[in-house]
Amino acid sequence: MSDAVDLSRTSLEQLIVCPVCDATYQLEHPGNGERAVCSRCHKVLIAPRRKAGMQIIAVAIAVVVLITAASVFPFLQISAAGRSNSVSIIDAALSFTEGPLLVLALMTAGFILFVPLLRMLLTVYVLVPVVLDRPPARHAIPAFRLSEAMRPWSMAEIFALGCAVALVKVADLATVSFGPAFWMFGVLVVLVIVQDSFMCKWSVWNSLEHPKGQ
Amino acid sequence: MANTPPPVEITTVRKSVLSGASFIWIIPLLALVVAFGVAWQSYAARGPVIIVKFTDGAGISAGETKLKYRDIEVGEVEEVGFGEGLEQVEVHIRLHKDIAPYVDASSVFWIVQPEVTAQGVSGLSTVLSGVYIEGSWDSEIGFAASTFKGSDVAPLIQPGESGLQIAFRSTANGSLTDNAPIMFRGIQVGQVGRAQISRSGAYAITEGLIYEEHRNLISSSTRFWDTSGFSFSVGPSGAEIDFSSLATLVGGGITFDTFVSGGDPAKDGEIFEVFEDKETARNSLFTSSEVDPLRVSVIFDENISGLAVGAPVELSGFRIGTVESLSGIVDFNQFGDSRVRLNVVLSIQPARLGLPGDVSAAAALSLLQDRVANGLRARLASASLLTGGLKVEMVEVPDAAPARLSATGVDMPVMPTTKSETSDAAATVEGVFTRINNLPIEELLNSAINVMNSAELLMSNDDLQKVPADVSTLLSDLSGIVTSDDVKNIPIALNATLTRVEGLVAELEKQRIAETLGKTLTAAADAAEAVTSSVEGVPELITDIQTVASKAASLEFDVLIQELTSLTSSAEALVSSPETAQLPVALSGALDQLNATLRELREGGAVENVNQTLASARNAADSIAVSSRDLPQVINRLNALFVQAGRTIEGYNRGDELSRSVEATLRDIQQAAGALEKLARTIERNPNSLLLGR
Amino acid sequence: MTAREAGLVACTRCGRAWPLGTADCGRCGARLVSRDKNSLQRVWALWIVGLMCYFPANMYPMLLTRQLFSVDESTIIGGAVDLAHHGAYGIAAIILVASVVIPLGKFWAIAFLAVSVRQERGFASHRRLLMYEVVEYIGRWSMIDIFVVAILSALVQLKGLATITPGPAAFFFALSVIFTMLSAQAFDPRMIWDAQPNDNEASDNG
Repeated sequence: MSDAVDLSRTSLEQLIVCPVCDATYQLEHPGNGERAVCSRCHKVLIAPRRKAGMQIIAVAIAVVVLITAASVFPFLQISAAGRSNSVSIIDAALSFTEGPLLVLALMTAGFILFVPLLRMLLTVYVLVPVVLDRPPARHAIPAFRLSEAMRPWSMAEIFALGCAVALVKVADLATVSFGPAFWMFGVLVVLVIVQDSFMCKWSVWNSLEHPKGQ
Repeated sequence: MANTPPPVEITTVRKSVLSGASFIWIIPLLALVVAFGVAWQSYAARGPVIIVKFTDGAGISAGETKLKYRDIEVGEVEEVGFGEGLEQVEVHIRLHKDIAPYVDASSVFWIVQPEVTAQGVSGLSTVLSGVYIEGSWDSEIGFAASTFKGSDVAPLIQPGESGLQIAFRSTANGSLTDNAPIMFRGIQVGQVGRAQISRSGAYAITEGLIYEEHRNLISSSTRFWDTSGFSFSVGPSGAEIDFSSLATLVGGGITFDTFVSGGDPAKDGEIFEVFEDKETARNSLFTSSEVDPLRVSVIFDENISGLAVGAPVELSGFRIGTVESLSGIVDFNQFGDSRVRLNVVLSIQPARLGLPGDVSAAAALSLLQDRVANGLRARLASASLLTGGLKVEMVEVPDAAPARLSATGVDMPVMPTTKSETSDAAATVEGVFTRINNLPIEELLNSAINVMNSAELLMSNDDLQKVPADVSTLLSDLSGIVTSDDVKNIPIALNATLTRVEGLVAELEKQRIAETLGKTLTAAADAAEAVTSSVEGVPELITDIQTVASKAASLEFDVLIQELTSLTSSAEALVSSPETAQLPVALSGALDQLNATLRELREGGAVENVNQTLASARNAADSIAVSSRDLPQVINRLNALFVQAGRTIEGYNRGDELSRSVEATLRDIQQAAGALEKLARTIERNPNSLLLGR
Repeated sequence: MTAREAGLVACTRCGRAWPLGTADCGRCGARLVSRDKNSLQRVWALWIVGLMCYFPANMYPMLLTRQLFSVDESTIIGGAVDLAHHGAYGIAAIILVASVVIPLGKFWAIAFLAVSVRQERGFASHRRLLMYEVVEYIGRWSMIDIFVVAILSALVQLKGLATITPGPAAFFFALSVIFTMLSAQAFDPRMIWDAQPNDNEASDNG
């Protein structure tokens, strides 16, 4: 308890607090491939990676392209007894269109498409100056905060699994064929998962706070 | 002094974009390539868009309705909108790329929807799957077009079909609906398309298609006729009802036949006329096309009802024209009295006359003039026994008074007439029964009674009264004679006669008059013959008896009675003559037996019975006469009915249980009618059959 | 040593420490809250709403299947039972787990955590933290049911043959999942550790 009193502002920067269990530690930068872990709750605090920035940006761009493409091209096509129906992801999201379900439709579209898209765009927006050692872009901090706040609401991979379940349900009734958007979406989901594991939040915050360009 | 080298300048290297390049960038690049590749592919694989204009949308929805060709999807509706001024519905269809070149200016588009027509239901599958647009084009690439006008109905020739395309021309009363079938021998060999009124308004022109495989059935001498609905006709050949099939009953149909061979095969675009019925169609073959008819006036003396406008005019049994109008005519100057005569205007079609060379009214007139000079006359005749209709007949009358078909040029030529022949079938049969009715049955009975009376007189004659006394002695002598040997010379016929007479008495009680009378007379004849053959006057008597006996067998009553009368009168004369006493006793005995028999007959009431029998026979004859006035007609009607019904059954359904039972019933009816007919004829031939029951 | 004890408040976003009482994080701008007594209220409130939405989600039909002329409505549980009848046990199990077991488990877990924070004893903090992490992770995955409905409704639109439309249960289920997620997010996991200072020292030593 006595340590607390002397801490001045500057030395606060030397501290890192675990967001989960509120344990306070002295900051130490791990090297590439190393991690800083909270000893009480074992949460990973810092996990830098080599050239993570570029990779993240590249993946983010790919995800952006894929999302826009996948939302336009036909996703799935069902045909039975001479009748056929072809849907794109937007059709799937907007399938709730009656009454209050419209709200649900918008939410679904958001969870599947807009939130990941926005997150990726923000990530790119934030990271590009960082990676290029330039001063951070304007509103980079709120942008990154927003991006992180939306992380639990990005449900693209859940949608992919939902598709798998639905296809299994329908496949014995009719013939289902995959459109190009299907494969794009699959790749997209993988990339999003990869990207989430690559990025170390603390490192980004640190870079934003102490940009190298200055 | 050595200076330390200055520290190396350190410049921070600004990381360029490429410095971090690593394999990681393949991922976004790949994503971009793939996205663009897919986009390009789907764009490049798109076919062109065509616009088809329909009058109404009929359930077409953008993004869903498909375009099909031969039942395969070749395009999709992208957009549905209105044309200028909201007049038409414009449908934008995107074609598949591979089929796009074939959609040229000669393509036809129509909407396939569920339809119920007389020919059946079509397009039912579209109820579930939604309407679709069907297109038809040929397999050659013609002029490209991007805007089409959609048609309301499917075209007559579907893609993939080919056939002979002909046109039909029909006048009034045609009841061809669209898509009516063209039947031949019960099989549909073609189809009728849409009907339009020709420009002149006199005909309806319909396009028709004969399927390819039946193309050879049509030649230039094929005639088509309308088989819509059903036809019912009553004519000299009987009543007739006819229809081809249920489809034609409701929706109309055409059938055809090639009545003569030797026509050229029909070509596309030929126009055929659709006649009203088979007869008209057949007749049209033998006539060239109709020209202006020749009008002839005929004035009949008799005023017989039954001639109607439209009745046929026949020459040698062949119809050459019709009765155009009827009127009465009163002309004192022309005829010499003020009676109303029947003025009939005939319209004679020169084409029917089979004129060689020029077919015209003038040529027909000259032909008729020539024939009239040779004895051709017009007369009224019965057209139908049943309906009593009349027709105008032209016949050659032998030894006709000279007459001319005068052609004044202004008025109509007037044809000379002859006596009408309107036969009345009923009259002949009636005449027969009148004759039966006129049989002198009353006189027959009266003379029979007279005979009996005179026979009674004979028997109550005083002279004869003396006979019994002699008879008893005669009989005792007779028995002595019989038992003596001399009598053995007497033919046994006498014994037999006596026994037969006894038997006759017994039979007479059963009222078998004729046979017994005959037998009696035969016995008497035999007896006379057997006893003596030398007595004068007896041979004649004997022959008389014999002839009477033979005539009795042939049952001609009136003659029989006459003979009987003469016989008895001569017998009477003989009996009352002095020679009678010299007659052999047996003969008088035979006569006595005859008298006794006759008396017994009378007493036994046999005569009354005969009277009654004859009276009832006469009543029967009367009633038959009354009913038989109608009998020939009844018979005819029954026959005709059977014929008609038979044809109906034939045409309607074969092998059907219902029709089989009906046929059997009709056959029974026919048998009954036949039996009735036979009965009538038998009665006519032999009125006595009424009495004898044969 | 917790930041709270040290008189600091930590930014949950970026991990930076600030003196207690600072309103916003200087680095990332997030609101600094040391311990929020009201957080539990928020947790409970959102939890109740989530639970309330869960009941109609199960009572109303989730899917309306229209085949030719017959309309078939099935609730979540009903649909799973149907699938089990048809022999697709795997899918039925997945649906039951994802739509019934997991949400109910979440409800129970959040309630348990919220209650346990009040109490001074209970399960080991590790376990509770694990429970919290699991709840937070799985929370999103409950949306899979909604997405299945969305895909099916969008795909099976063969007019006349089979048409699937979502029922009102989908709306309520989504709401339930969202509120549960919000409820879990509102929960401050740091409170787990506040209750057991003994554990703190024990783990420090061990």
